[in-house]
Amino acid sequence: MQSERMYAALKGLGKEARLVMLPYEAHGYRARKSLLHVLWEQEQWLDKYLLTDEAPVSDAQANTEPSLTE
Amino acid sequence: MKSMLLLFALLLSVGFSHFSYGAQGYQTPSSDLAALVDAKLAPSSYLSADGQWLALFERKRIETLDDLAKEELKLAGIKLNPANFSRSRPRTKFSALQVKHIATGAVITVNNLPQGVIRSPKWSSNSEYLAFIVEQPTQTQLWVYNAETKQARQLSTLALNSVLTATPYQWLPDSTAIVANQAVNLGKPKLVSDANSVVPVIQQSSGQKAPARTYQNLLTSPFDELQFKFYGQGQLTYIPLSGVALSIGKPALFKSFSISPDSTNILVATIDEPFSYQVPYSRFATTWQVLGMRGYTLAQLFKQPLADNIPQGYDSVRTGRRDFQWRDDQGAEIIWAQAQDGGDMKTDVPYHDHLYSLRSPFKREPKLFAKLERRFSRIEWANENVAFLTEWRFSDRQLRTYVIQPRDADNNRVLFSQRSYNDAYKDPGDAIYERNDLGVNVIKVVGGRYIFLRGDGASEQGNVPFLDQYDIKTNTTKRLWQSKAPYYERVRAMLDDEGERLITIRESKTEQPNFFIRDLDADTLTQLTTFEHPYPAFKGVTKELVRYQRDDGVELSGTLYLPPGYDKTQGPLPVLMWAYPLEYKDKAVASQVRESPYEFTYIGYWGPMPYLAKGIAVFDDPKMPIVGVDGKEPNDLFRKQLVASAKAAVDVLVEKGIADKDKIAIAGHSYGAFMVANLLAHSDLFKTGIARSGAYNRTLTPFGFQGEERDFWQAQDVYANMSPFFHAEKINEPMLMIHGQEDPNSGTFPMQSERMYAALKGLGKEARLVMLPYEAHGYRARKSLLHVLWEQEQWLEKYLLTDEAPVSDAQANTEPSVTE
Repeated sequence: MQSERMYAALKGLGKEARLVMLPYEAHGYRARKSLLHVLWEQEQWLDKYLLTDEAPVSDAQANTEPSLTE
Repeated sequence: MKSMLLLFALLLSVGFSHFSYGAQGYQTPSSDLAALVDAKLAPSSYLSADGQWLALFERKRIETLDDLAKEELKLAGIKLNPANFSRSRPRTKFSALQVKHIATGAVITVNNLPQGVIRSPKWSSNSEYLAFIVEQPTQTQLWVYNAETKQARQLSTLALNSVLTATPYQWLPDSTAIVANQAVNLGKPKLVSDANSVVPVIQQSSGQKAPARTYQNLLTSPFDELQFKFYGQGQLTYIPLSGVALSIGKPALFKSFSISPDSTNILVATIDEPFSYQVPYSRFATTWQVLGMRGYTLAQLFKQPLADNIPQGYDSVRTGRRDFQWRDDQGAEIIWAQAQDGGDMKTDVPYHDHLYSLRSPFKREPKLFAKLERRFSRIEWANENVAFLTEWRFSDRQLRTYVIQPRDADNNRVLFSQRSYNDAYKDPGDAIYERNDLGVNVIKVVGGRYIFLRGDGASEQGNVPFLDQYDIKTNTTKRLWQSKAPYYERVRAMLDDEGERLITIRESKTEQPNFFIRDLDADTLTQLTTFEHPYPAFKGVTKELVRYQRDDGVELSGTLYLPPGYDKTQGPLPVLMWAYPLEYKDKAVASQVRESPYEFTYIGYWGPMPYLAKGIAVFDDPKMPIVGVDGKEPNDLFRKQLVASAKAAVDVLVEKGIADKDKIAIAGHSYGAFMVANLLAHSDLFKTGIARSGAYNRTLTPFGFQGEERDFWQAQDVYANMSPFFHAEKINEPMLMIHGQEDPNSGTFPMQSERMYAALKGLGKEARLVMLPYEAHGYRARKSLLHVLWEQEQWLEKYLLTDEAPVSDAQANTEPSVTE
């Protein structure tokens, strides 16, 4: 929940962020597929935001909004 | 469904740190309270077109836990039950059927129906048959009641599909047959997702603010798409009252179907691929065509593309042809609307919509039918000389209705009504309908000029229902009848052409609603039904509107209910208050009265009313306005105004000699629960509180809540001040918290109550938390409702009605975990 709420806050504020939720995983990731995917996510992210010189291009839009009534 | 053992284990899994009632599992309250959950309200009525038969359906208000535990799929904006190909949460549901013969008063009880939910009843136009569907665990059946033989029978063994077509059948207007949408995939093996469909869930934000409009339960994966196709697919079928059923064309994703008034053609909308993950099915690409009864295509009307870029605004629409419908006054003529403003009402054009018409055999060019200055809302047809055309716009909430001549719709229009749709006082009422020669429901016109209107008659004196006669020729209205005190009586149907013989529903504060025949000419009133008092234990409850003032001069009011048999000589009573705060931008805003002072007193299981049976006075909905004054936002002074409102409510009841000031409890649901926790933290007005399905930590709703428009980062102090979680250490009265374990409302996730309870427990406060399995924001299962009544009853007995101070008998026994 902590990550979900933080992501929702960043998104609502119009910040650049990406949230990846790993099925079945606990506090330390253990499945082979998960570990490979985490490495891939990190690699892509660093490629895009650390190693690239240009400003990143937005390629997706936020698609949810918190509901306001109770 | 999941194991019941698990379910019992989940209930009350937290909450016993301080005391226990010594009982586990679901409990039942005392019998007067329990009876409210099962109380029978007045049934829903369906009158046959000839006015001879009144079908009375018993309303099904509550569910079983098994109902809630059923598998539910959420696809393209629809919640559906995959076991029987139906929507999982239909609005109106019935459980039994009786048919009343108006002339003799005879009652036929239909008792051969299978177990299940009855829905969507419709009389045939000749008044001989009443069709309805029965949703059973594994299929939905089509039934027909025959008024002559007084028997109901299953018309067809075919299972129906109400996933996309919520009402999965239509009568032919000539009463000879029904066209139904058959669930062709029912019984086929369920789709299974394989291990490869487990994927990380990824969201990405690119640095743009989110668009305003969002949808829930959308398609999210290729497997969702397969499921949507599987459960949405249907087969239109012609089912004659006698004879063999015939398939009409091929299976498809039918979004709607409607039969022409002359019973020869079907207007059909089918959903096309590719589907969208951004919008619900109603905006998917859709093909509109006219089919013959055997399924051959007579006309391709339009292929609507995917509408994922409709401009913002409630009165924005898709471009291209839309809103296809039959003209009810013609044999087979289609009408549709087409935006002239790119779908955006903000565009400045003289005409925002055009209506076009196309008549059978659909070979000619469409004709321009009418031009509209605002957005098309609807047409109610009478005949080729009379129809009501309504247009609207959102910006000023204006609704405008013209009487038009369909043969020349743009000329000789008469403005019939123009008002804000929020202005109930100017509502002219709804036209009385009749069946025309084709068997279709149309506005009843007598003598070529008179239309009859029945309305709620909202006014400053409350609702005073009426029947009016409107003269098209002179554009004037004459009142034929109006409800008279001390009764609240409204017109249900008109049995003649003069507006003199009426079927009405009448009630008073103390008399439960029943059906009557009112004859204005003979000045007689004949009772048609004798429904019993739905809650006899509450006979004699009195009701009074109490007006009072807050210390800053704001006018307040609340409804005071006193237990049966109480009079002031018995001294002051314990009181239960139930409220919900609202924000206002200025002090003058007053809402219109939208109820009658003569309505039968409704005793619901939902709020505070059940506890009248325990000798507790109820103060319902004492206003808790949070007003923004002197340029401040309302919530800048939330706590001060909330406590002042509550104090004014307490003071007025103590002053009147009703309330024992040491025995007042405060309760509320949702934002009302948030109010309860705040009042317990910041005042000592109340002895205890009950807080249901609330949110207590506003940092978990950081983009605003209720009327608060500032986000957390703009108003951190306001969020902190208002959040009772931040002030839990000041809560010094016992608090009962209840929450649905599956609450989907992002403002009130179940976690809100769990975290608040953990805080109170850790601080050594008296509190109890009850989590209800399978329940969402409103509780629906009978067992849950009984248990909630029991919890509240036990709580009030222990903390409100008992004189001694409660003793804490246990200590906080957990500690937050701090390592990560």
